[in-house]
Amino acid sequence: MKTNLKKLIGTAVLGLTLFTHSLPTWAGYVQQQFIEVRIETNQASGSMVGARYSGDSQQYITCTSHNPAVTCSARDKTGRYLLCTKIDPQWVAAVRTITDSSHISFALAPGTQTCDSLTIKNGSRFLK
Amino acid sequence: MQAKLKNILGLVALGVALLTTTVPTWAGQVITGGEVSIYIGSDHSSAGGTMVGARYSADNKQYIECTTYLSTTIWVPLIQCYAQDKAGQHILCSSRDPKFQETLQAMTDSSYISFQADSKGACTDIGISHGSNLLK
Repeated sequence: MKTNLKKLIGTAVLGLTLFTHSLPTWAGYVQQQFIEVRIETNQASGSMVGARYSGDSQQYITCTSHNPAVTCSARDKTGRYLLCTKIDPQWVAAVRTITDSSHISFALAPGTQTCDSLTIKNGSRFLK
Repeated sequence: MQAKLKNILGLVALGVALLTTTVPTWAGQVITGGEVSIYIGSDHSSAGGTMVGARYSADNKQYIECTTYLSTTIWVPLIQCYAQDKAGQHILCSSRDPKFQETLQAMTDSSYISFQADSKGACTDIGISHGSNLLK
């Protein structure tokens, strides 16, 4: 009986130890946004971390620069997809501000595949 | 005998598990805190803080970020930096000066960010620092 109790307490302590060591860092203001693609308004947005660590294997957001051209694309969890391109050195400079944790939004000019806008947010709230 | 062996193996497994999960991140110099601080004056305001310090702070208020905007159809500030401290006090600065966009290219997930705004909210300075002591 005493041995059983000892084992039980030991297991509980072990469980608690392992549990507390595997707790993620939840503190702090955080916004990890999944990818949203709105075909009707030609807009896509989301965070790198939100997409990368989402539960599905569909979503992503990317921007590529081949000076002086920039291409951004995004796919949401349902497979909706948008891609745009812009030839402008200032847009290349903007894409260079992207980090592993950026939040990216872009929009297409109506009826084209030309980028109309691009917003890149680098903030502590988007870190994993 | 078999039970003893099982016990020993169990203890070894436990030891390895605890060893690998309890290794602390004590090594190296680390800037403790790095939380967002804000100064609001009559002629200018300023803010500073580390990405890591803000993100992993104990509160859920503070954050610091810089944004790059581009649009062919509507007016946007080229860049904007925003900081909010743990008390909810915040400041923002905006600029269309390309030199600040170049500055923002240096930002990483572990940067220390500081910026200054004049009384109208225009950015007068943005600084990005990197250091091993700023890493998570």
